Amino acid sequence: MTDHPSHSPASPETACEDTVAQACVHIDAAARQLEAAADGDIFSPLLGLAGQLALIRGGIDPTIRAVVDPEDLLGPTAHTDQALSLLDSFPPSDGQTDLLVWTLRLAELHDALVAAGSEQP
Amino acid sequence: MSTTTVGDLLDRAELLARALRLTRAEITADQWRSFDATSYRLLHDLVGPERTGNHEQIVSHATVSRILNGYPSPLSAPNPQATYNARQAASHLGVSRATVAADIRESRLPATYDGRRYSIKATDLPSITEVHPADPASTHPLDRLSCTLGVLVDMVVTERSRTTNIPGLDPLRDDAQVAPVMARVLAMTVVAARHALAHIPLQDADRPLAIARYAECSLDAIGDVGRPSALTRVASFAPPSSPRGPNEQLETALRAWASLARREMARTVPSTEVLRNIANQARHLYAVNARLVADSFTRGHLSEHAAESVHDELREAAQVMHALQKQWETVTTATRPGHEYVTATTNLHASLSAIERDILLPGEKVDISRRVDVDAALTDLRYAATDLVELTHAGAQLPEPLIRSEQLFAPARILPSTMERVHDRNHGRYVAIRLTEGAALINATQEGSRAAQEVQATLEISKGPIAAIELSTHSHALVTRRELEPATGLGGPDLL
Repeated sequence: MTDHPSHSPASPETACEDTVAQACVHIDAAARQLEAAADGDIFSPLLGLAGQLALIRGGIDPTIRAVVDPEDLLGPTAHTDQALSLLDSFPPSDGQTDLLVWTLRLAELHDALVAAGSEQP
Repeated sequence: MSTTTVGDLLDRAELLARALRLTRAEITADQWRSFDATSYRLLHDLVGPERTGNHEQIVSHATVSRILNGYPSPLSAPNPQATYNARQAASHLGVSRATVAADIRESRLPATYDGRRYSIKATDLPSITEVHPADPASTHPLDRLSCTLGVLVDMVVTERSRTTNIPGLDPLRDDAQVAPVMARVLAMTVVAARHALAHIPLQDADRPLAIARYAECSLDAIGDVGRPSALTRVASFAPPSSPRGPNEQLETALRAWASLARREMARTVPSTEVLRNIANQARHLYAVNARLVADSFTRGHLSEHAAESVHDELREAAQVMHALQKQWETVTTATRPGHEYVTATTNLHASLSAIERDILLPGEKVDISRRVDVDAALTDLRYAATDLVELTHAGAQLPEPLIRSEQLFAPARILPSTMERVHDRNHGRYVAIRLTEGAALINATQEGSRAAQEVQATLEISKGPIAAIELSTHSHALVTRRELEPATGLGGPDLL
């Protein structure tokens, strides 16, 4: 088991990481941003979405966490977009056999994130 | 709602027992035997196996065991797996204990001996009478009573088969909780037996007479135990297979989630991602509960004081659950969550989010078929709060054995640096954490378990009549709805 302490989810340091690990880092970063955006409101719906994202990341690889990057310019939807493109670019013949299912789950959650965003005042 | 509790079934059975007074129809010996056998099965399953270990429990169990053992020659074995000691077998056969012992010694009755007592399989006992289950299509109150008690037997058997050891959440292993239910069953047995005496052919009247005497005597032996019992709250769920509307969807999603969460926690090495998700889902459940409580207060169904107190409790517990999920985030067992669980938790998240949205919309904007029945949803969430007590209690038992068996890992870089870890740290590896390093996690899981218990207790109290104090005098409520409501909508600058 290797730890993936990415300094910046989209920074050049992670470019050499394998695709799945990068996708996980993006998912984890999206989850953390949602948590931060809840701004201490313990009943915020954002925390629920963050939890679901974290679970999907754990399904893909339970040992990867992103380190908080204060310079990160991407938002949760953009991070999820990036993660989806990375997972979609992964050769179908490689990787864990159920990666397709996790990608589908992430795509569905991405839609929920976009819908949640559109409900903002 | 497709939820039935032991209390619901007892209430229904008592109504049917009362209805016996109004019927003049004759009953057959078969109808009586069905009732007789079901009544015995229910008492047998309520009493359960003998207690071992705790002296106090052994003594208190002796009272209810004695009552069961006094049942006059039970017509059939309660279940094929049951075993009897010599005294119970004697009672079952209607002979003396010495006769049973003689039968065993002379190999007429198979038995095993553990050095202290004989154990006789129920299937080895000669069946005296063939007993048929009551006809479920019959409209006779005695048959309906037998069927209702039969369902109760199934519920008790299912509840007993659950492996839970949570104090206060295992009423079947607490004789103080079992005794009031036994008393109600015995009271119904007296009523049914007296009815049978008056309406059964004379040649078959001996048996109801013996049972009436037994049940009356047992009622006296059990004493004045009072009516309330935690056992009446034990519930059985049958969520709709094709749920329609938000309430049915919530019920189905909750049941599936709770069941799969239990299954995930029973894995040899559970996924910390699941444990974290359970804490997060608990927080979400409390959040939705708080919204519904606020709505209930606005509609005048809940007093201001009750709403405020429940809301505070839920907020506090949600914070504890959030802290717990943050703790689980720091470690991993490297076990991935099961797909079925992820599907169930996704459905639950969707269902809870839909309810949150609907509650926030003005009434006229919600399609009537999609409108949430707040009281039904609160009932479902109350049951979910009980599930959370179990899940968080089980979760609190996990960290220590996982750490001791070196199955709980964390990145070496976030753990205290030691000579052995230098290499792992430099290579960005995960290492097994030590017991002292898991102290915060252990603490958080225990806090989570405690918070879940407190919420469950508060929700149980809040449903009572005391909480529903009239709101009409509170036109100028001190706490406005806004204060009671959780923050609405999505917040945060430049969020999505």
